[in-house]
Amino acid sequence: MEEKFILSVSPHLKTKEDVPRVMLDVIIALIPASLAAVYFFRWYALRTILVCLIFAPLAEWVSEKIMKRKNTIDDLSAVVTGLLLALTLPPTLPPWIAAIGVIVAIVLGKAFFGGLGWNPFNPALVGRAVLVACWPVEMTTWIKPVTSRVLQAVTTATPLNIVKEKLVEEILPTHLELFLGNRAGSLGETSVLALLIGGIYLLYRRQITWHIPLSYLGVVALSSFLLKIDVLFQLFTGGLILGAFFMATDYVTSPLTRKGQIIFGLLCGLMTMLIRLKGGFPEGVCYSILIVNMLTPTIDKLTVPKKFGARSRMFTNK
Amino acid sequence: MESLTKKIVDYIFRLVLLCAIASAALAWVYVETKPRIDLEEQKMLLAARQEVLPQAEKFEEESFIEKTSTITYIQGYAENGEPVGKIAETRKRGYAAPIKVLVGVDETNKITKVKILDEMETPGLGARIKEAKFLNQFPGKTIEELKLKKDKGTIDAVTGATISSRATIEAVKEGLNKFSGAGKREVSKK
Amino acid sequence: MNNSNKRSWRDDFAFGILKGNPVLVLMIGLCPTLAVSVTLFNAVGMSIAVAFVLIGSNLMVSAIRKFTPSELRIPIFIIVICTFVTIADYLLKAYSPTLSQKLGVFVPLIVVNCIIIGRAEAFAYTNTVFSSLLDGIGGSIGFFLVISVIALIREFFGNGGIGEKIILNKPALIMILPPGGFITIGTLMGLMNYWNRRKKTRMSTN
Repeated sequence: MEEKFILSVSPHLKTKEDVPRVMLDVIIALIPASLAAVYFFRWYALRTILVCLIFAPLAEWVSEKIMKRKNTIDDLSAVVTGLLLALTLPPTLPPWIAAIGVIVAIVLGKAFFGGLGWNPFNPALVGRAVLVACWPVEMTTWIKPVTSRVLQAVTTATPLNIVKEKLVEEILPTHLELFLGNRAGSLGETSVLALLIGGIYLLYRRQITWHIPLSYLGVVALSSFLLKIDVLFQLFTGGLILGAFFMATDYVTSPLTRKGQIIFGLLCGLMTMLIRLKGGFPEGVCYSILIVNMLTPTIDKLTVPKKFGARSRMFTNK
Repeated sequence: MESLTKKIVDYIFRLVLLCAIASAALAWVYVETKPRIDLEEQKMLLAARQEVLPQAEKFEEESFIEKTSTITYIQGYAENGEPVGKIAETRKRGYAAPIKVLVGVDETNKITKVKILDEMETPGLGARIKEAKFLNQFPGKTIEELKLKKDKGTIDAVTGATISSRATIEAVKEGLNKFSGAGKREVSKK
Repeated sequence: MNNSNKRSWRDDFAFGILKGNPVLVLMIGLCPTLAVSVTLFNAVGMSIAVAFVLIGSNLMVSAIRKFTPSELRIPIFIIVICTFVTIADYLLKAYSPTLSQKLGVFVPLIVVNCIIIGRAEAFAYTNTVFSSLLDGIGGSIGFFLVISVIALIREFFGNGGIGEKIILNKPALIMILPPGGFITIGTLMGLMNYWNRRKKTRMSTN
């Protein structure tokens, strides 16, 4: 009986699109940011990205073997998770910590919940959150970009750190430096330019829609404008662009409807600004997306589209 | 109706009886353990005070009035009754909750030792303000030097825990400020 | 099931250890388990305190069960449990002040620990003093085993070693933070369920 009827949630449309193609597009979209990471952080970036790319499919394969599930490495989702996680890690992070992070992301973030499609939280962000809680010192040690002249790692603070902790000796980078990526930060979050190229590619390929990124970035921009703080600084720093285009738009953990996606983006933006301005951490993109992930089922429930021809619920209830 | 009243009376009687027995048992245990509990508490208090003011043997709570507020502190005496230093207990909001600090100073108002009494900072990060590496920077410092190196002072912050380190320094400063000129004022013993 | 005639004293004793393990199977008393299982020292101290209260209250409740009308049983259980908890608290403060300081508020909170009132209500109130004693001992051992295993895992990975002995020099801090407790206990519950299910399918195929 079970094999005859396939039950699955909507959408039921049939196209040539399948999971590997979607994931491949995401990987292509992440290539500019990865290249920028390698350009700015050289060996450090290469090392971390390689470790994550190797251990993510490995962890998926082993956990599926143990749990006797269908093997799903060829859908490329583990590779995407690994790459996304790598891009959120600080450059000097020891490789073994990155490996643990990727294993946690795949096993705890995805396999424990039943595999791809069942995970309530973005696996890469679960991995990052666990790493921050495990090794806070290593996860908050940042270096200046390695230019051709200075090959040695110089520790420094991220722009958001400088603002949060009122560090007098550090100099804030200019907007152009922030945009190009010449500043301290996680591997993939520094170059806004590279991230935007990837984001536009995803929009062009229609793998994501504008709803989540635009509402997310919009709230951050609007609230910083209303609070009279530097709008561009808030937009370009931290993992905001990476989060808005690549993390918050994850199919599994974001709402299905357009209206729901806009609500999702708005909430993410509000949480991010709250954490940045009022919270203990300098950056809040990771936690805000994880927290709003939890609300996704509720948002989906509240924004169920009305059936064609049906009258709005307010009247039918009466 | 009558049976209900009877039932209520019966229930009240049972509960009262049980409570009485329980209270009697508790009273007995209390009387038996109270002296030991007090002794242990005093031992702990003395140990903490002696840690920040090693040269003192006896401690007394004293206070003086500055402007309108009463400032209390603990005065330490050597064995021969000579005053050797003071201890202040201060608290400042840290990362998670107030950090409670015990600051010991000698008679010239120089820091002898700083001890963290209570904190709820992140283990492994902010909680490392309890480590000797951080706390040993305090003895002998003047109030002007009590600043993080990042803030152009002389204290190295605990790695990754600027907020906790700053809060500790602020608490120590507050303790020091209490004593600035304490010797000149009228001191009342408690 | 509890009142079937075939039940022997062994069943009373063994119930709380595996089949009816308070934490992993009945899922009661989770709050202190999560909060105290940060170090093995605390976990052992906590299980001693819980064992004292659980055995004491089981004995007392079953001894006075004829004196306890069913409408009054909850207040009476609470009086009995409170008395034992307060005694445990005084004794700890007097004879082991370090342990008492480390366990802090969780000793008085044994009052609201569901293991105690759960066993009083589900077992001691309807069983003999001897059975209740065995049930109390079994439950205490079950609690001790689980909280110690959790504490062992959490302290080893979160602190780098047990007690003063440090093996890992860069421990995973999350394990001694609340999330580590949830992850450990959830994983253990999963393993326990897996194990039980496999046992069941094996029994049905035989």
